Amino acid sequence: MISQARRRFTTSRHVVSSTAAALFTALAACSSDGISNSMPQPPRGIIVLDGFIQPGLTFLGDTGSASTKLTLGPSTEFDAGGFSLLRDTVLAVSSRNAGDLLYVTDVRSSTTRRIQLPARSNPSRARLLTGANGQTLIGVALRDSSSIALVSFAGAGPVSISRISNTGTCPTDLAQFDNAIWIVDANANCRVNYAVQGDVRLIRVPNTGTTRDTILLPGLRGSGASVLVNGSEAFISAGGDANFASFPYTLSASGGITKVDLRARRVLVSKSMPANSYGADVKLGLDGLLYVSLYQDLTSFTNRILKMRPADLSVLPSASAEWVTLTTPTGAAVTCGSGQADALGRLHCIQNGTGSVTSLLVFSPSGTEVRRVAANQGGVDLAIRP
Amino acid sequence: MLLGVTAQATQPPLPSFTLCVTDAQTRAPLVGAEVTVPPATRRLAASCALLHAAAPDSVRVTRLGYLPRVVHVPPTISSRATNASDTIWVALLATYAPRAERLAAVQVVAARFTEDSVTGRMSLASGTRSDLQTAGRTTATLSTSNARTAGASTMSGMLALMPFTSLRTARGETALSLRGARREQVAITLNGLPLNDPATGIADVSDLPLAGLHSVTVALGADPIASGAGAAGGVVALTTSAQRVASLSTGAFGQSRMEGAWHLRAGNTLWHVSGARSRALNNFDFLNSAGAVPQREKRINNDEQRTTASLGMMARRLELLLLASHGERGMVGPANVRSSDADRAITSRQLLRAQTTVAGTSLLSGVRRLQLRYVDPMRPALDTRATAWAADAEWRGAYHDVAWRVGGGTDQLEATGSIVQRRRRAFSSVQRAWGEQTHGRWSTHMGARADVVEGSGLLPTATMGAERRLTPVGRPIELQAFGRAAQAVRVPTLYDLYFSSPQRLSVKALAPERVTLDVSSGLRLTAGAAHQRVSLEGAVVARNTRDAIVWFPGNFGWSPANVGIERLRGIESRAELMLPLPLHIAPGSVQLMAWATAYDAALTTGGLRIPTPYVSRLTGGAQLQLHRHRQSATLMWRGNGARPFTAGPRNPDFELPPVSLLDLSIAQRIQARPHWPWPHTSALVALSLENVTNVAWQSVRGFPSPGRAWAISFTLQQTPP
Repeated sequence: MISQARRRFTTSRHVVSSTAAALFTALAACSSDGISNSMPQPPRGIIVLDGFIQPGLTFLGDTGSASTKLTLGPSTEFDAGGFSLLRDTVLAVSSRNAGDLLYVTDVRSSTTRRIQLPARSNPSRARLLTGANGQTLIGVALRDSSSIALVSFAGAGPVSISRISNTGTCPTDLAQFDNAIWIVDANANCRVNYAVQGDVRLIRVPNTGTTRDTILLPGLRGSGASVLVNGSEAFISAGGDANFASFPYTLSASGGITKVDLRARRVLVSKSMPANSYGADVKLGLDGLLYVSLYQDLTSFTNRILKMRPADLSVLPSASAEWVTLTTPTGAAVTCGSGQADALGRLHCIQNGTGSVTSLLVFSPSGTEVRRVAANQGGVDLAIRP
Repeated sequence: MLLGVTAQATQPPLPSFTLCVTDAQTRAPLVGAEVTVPPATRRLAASCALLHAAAPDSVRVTRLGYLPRVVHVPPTISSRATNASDTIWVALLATYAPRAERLAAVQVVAARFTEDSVTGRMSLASGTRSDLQTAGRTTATLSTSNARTAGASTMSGMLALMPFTSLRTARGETALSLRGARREQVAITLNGLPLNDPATGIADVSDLPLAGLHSVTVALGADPIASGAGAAGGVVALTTSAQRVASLSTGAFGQSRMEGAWHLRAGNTLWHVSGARSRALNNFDFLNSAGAVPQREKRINNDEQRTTASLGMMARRLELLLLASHGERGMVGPANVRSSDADRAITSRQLLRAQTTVAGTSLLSGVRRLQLRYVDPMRPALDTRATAWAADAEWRGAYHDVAWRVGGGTDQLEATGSIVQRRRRAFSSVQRAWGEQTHGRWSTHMGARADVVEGSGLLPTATMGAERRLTPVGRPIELQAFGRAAQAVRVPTLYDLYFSSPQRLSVKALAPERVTLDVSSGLRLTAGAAHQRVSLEGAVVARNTRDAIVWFPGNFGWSPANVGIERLRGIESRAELMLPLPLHIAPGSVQLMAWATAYDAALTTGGLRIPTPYVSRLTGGAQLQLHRHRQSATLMWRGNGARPFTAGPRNPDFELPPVSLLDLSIAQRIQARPHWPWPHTSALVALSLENVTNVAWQSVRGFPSPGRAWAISFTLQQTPP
């Protein structure tokens, strides 16, 4: 299965290589003209995670309509709603309903390694950490085990898994900073129904010693909390508290973002998402701004994207609303999710149409659609390769 | 109406003959007919019965819901002593059937049947021999008795023996596909009462015991007139019977089953009861390839237990059937998923059907209740309960050459989360048939139906079919051309309606799914006599479905939507051969039945071409049966091509590999001797080996099926005297 995708990807890799060579030549020409290399560059590519129907990764270039797909597994073995991309490594996990698996993909070689995590541990997110002695080290938040799995391996060698236990009620994400693992505890009953029990917490577990620190994040609620680290600052986001057990759905609290100074171990600023909205999926744009994807409300589930300054979490408002106004070239409104901007300030996002057919949309800094390309089916997340 | 008479007396003289009663339109065997051979009148407990009468001139046959028929017994039978090998086939015309069906259907065939006919067994070949079907339709009928001989001891096993069927099962339930349709597009009826759950659209009949059933008929293609909304791919019609049978079976993976049925006459009323109790652990070994490293494991929490009981009554003016079942099974997860190792599903079903006649018309009514409870001991907060109700009432009759039906009903669903859904519906239909009286060459029918469903509006459908005999009547080789065109509509299920609105990007009510055209056309060739015959049938089919209701993941959750156009193009073929065994080997016969379908079924939406999940391009099956005196052996092969298992474009990564399965069964019938205490009782011992070659395969992606398995059954059946 994977080998077939690899073959398909290999074909396109020649195309990518050719494109890269051309770009390199162009860059060299630019350099000879004395233009600084620090100028914003277009991305190397875009990766879309197809989370449903035929789960896999769709790789797209910055231009053109060609794409390649790397199959990850059927939906009984893969149900991730998001992924992380760091150093050309894509990490995604399957929950307890799809076999508690960790998927590690090397984007450059287009190979995937599947690692079995403890049964019924219900993994949430995986992060690539800095390992020692050439080992790959990955941290995985295990929601139903109240623990963090530290997965290490070298190349195709054997996998060893150790655990950090007692990491909150429902750990959903983690980060590595300053000789410590920082764990986001969603403080929800994830073993049963993901009901929110209280505010999200950030737990610091030092690499050495036993003293742990817990930072309370007042007002931040949601069973899918996550963390994004930029320098010594962490942006912890949570989608809010809603009851989906019966219809009409009810919203108890909208999502929010809290900025934490990791060195000082204190909250710097908090920002609530717009009233009635649900969700807060935060990405750091390559232009240095934060992009938050959410649903406008629990009635229409219309996707919206907010653009925020990392410094004070202030929203860069558009002409008509808090969220970014996106339009087609003819001026018609467009909505999409999983937004992230490249270094040129162009917003990339995905849109699922009829039959969950996914499109990658690209908008100019002014919000006008400049590109629309097919990206397979069942898209749930997106990342830009810098 | 058809009368078939055989008059070849070769056995020692006995003043008796066999009478078999079938439905003139569907060819389904009819149980409970009232037969008058002057001066006596009796109600038949099976579709066939051995009658004793000295030189009868005529036989009057009637049954509730059908027009009475007086059959003149040919002198070849009435003028001399005969035996059970002489069979009179009587096809009764339903009160709501067009009268002209009689004209088209009358045919005399040589029909010498073996003793099996006495017990009501009908071979596949005999079922397809007649041209009594609604014109242009491909059907196949199998009796439970024949299914037992072929090694089947469960409803799922019996359905697997049927041609043109494609079965899926993951956790003990049985889902069926006909003519490349999705499982909710197949209507399953019990004595004409639909069994499809109004909440999901799917009928799981795996809990029905064989003891209470008489036959299964598979009819391909949309059926708007008889089955109404929902029958887009075809119909599976189950009929009950009044039997005297007891059966015990046991098998691999902790399977055990006991079932029985009994009937008695009180006056001219026939009462029949049946009951069944079955258990299975289903703890088979399988290769778990869904984890990081393939490893052998044993399936757990895959057990099931079911209890079913039925009570029926047949009188001159009233017929009742009450059926209740209760089942519990482990909700084992996909191969690598351990989180549902403790989950259970508890299903209960109650069904009541009543039928009576008023002034030559039929009144039918039925009510069904289906409750599904999902229990998660580890997370009780997630326990759910859904109860679906459906009630139907119908009035049928005929005015001159036009048959008419009017009816109405209501569906209701109550489920955890304060979910309450209700819907009313009504329909009316007319149908007319024409037949050429002189040579019987043409048989045609046309019909129209209008359904009115609350929330979906008026839904008209129509059907027409024709058959033409290309060879003169009476020739040993008979060639027929047939064609049929039909429409169908499937209204959204109650689950469809609930999940479509809250979770769509833009709230939009679901429209009914419409088969704008389902056409089939082909040739049918039959040659030979009862014990030495061959038949071939082939048809090309096409179906277009507009606004197909398909579940896709939306931006928030899975939800159904009307998406694009679903097209099916294909070929259906079947061949049957029956030959006597050479006498120097042994008296007996060999039967070969093979079928194959080639379908290209795909949905076009959003620029993608998405093949219909679990419909393979090539599917086929074959049965080789050897009958020798009281022994029989059956070798069954079933093959499937690669099957897509997602609602995505064709991609080998998301297809189940082709599979080829082989089953073998042998059966020995033991007939009681005349001096035994129960001279009319026969016993059948059947041993079956399923998946003989131990193929590791999956019926549903992620849910492994067992490898080689065995089962043995012992059945006692009382033959109607």
